[in-house]
Amino acid sequence: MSARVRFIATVGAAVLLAALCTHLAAAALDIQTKAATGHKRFGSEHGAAQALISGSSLTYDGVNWREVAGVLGLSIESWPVPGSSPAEWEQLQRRSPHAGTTFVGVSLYDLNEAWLCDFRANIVPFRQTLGDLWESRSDRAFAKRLSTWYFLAWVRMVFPTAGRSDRVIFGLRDKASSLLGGVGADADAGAKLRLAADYTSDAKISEWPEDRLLRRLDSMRGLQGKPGFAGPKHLALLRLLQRARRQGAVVVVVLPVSPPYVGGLLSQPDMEQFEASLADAKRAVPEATWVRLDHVARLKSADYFSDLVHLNMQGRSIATAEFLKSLAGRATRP
Amino acid sequence: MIFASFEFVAFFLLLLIGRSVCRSLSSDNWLLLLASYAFYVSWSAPSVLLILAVSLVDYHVGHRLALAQLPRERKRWLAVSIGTNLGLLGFFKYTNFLVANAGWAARVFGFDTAGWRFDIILPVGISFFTFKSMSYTLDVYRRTMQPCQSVRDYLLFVSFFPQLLAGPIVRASELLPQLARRVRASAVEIESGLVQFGLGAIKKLVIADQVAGHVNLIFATPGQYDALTLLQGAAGYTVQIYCDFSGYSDMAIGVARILGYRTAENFQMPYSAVNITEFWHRWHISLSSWFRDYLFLPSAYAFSRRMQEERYVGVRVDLVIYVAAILTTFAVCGLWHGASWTFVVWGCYHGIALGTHRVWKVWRPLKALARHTTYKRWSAAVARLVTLAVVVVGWVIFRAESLESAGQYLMRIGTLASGGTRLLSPYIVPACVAVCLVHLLTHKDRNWPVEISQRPVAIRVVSYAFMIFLVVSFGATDAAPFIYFQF
Repeated sequence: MSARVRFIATVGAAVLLAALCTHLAAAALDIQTKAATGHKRFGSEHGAAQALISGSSLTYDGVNWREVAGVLGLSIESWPVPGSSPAEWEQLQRRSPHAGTTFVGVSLYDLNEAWLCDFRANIVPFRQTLGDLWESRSDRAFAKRLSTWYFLAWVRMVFPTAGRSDRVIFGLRDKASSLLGGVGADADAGAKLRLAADYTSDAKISEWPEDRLLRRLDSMRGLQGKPGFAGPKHLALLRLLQRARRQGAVVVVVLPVSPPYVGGLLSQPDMEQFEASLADAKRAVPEATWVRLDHVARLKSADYFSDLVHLNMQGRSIATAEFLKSLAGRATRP
Repeated sequence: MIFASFEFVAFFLLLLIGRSVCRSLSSDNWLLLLASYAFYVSWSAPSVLLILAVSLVDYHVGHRLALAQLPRERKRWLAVSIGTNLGLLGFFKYTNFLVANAGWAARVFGFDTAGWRFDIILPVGISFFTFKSMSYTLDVYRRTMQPCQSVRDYLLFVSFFPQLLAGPIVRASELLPQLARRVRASAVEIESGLVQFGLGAIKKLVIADQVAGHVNLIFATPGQYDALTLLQGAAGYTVQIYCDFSGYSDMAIGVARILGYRTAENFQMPYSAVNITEFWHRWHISLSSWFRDYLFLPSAYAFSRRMQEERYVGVRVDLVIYVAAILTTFAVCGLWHGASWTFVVWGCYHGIALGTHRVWKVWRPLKALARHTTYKRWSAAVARLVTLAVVVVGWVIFRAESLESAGQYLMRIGTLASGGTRLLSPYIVPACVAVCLVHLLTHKDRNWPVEISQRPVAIRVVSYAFMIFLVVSFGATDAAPFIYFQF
């Protein structure tokens, strides 16, 4: 065997062994490696759903959709994807062509262009992404970052833990903590993506120690980079709303994020850009009903958040009540 | 385009494919030159003109130096080269620093200095390629090498992409002869090159980039944290800068080796050093040897010509010369790292530490204890710890946002400040432990890439698989630019 063949065989064997180890690690640490878009129903389970929810975990945590379905007498369906954004919801929306009402949950968190869904490359076609990058005139660094996501999706077929170091590290910590008696497990679980269709928590970030808050903010800063609200996600939101309008009624819920998140990660120009993005969406679909839960004064407290962006049980109760009250007072109630 | 990116992997694979169809030295070098400039364009297109200008001036000066016979004429040509390189470096890197200091002085006298700042973008890698190119003209001036006969090879020497942005500052005498013949890496060299690249990727992605977030957080507002957190931040930065920079060097050396070019190591377990002099023999070796050869030795020689007495204020003249030359060298070395007083103070601090070590060696205050068993047993460990402490204090000055911030940082550690937030980082502590263990358990002068690639197949397969596993599972998702790019 020549030296070159021996070298290729050695490297090939090492790659295979490493791939096997990463698959085992992903399984052992419960790391979600596939864009599982599990179907979720609220309200009546019979017949075709009358409404669709398009949103991330913030939407599922922020509003009690079972209660909403009951009060409004609607059968609501959804395909929740962890950490998703309008770019992914737009693709999943096509699965509900008959939904007469679309509830769209948006926030400062999931409209932020810098925050990329882990499964984006598995859901959004590359052509769509390239087109949106071109149309939104995104800067080169961001375009490169977003395109790399598609290459990463290929790498993840061999190495499922690639680009998921946070989940590996937190997964290891959780395992170690549970082996040592469970104390301290999940201390920074907010860094993990979660499928939050039925998730509820009593935790309050107002009770977090300061160092934990700083660590989480830093971790999010590292993951999200420079905030922006006028890129591919914004274009996807506009298309999503226009399609929803063609299907029927549209209700857009603007969900709150915690005060430390706003204070620690966003500047005044970022907030203005977010508002401009919403104003643009309003102009594109003027018939839509807008519910600004982020303007509810009571929800501007860290007591109502289980982590930096998700509402806790108390927050969810307030938000749901406000949401229903807001819909009741409008002529365009779905 | 940084080494630890998919983009670079694609670029490098294309280059290897292109090289495999090249059939002559000329086509090989033209392709490498094209690739090097393309690599630089990915960072900064306009700065390509700068690197081209520096290369052409120094190439021309090299020839003129070889032709010139009169010392005055030779000095004039050398001044052209040094003036061009330092002039460009000074303009791009230090203009705003000088203006800011002039502004500070002007404000003292009541002048309005608002708007005293120019929009100058620092071309990436300028400190490295100017020093690299300058070493060529200095060597030709000293007649330690012949001028390069091929403008293509010289352009390639200056812009050779593995070493372009952050060194190693390879000398012309080392690289130009390799560029003058057609080289191809053997399977063993490719394997050891890949291992070196992999080790660099682990240092950069798994350690440096992961600890960076918490280190930045702590250094941003040192007054907010207690002494333990600040100590952790200092240790974290000590690990970060080593892994970031030596990781880059490893990747650069690995890439060059895969292409068939040999480059000397740039880092050799610097935190294992038992004194500060040894530290500088192991840290950024290419830069410290550059300063030794082109600044320290000439300035020591210049001082010795001016100092005729045997003693000055009761101190031996050789010691005075050494201290004066080392202080000069390290003040310049500090300034080379960046246009800020923190870097100058850091350089002077290391100059003082090296001078102190020299005095200590001459004085030998503990020589009476040298035969004592306990002393023998513990002296090396204590020396390592003291050296490390000196280095860590230096890194705090180096990393701090300002001298005030550095002072506050060190003061809070020194007074064991208990007030403030305690932030225990899940990244910094394991990273420090890992780097300490590697430094403690392995021999200082081992060459891992070469050693691993000579082991039996089974050990190699497991080692490589482990390296790949570490990078893909623990590597930071978005690799940050290397710290030394800013210099």
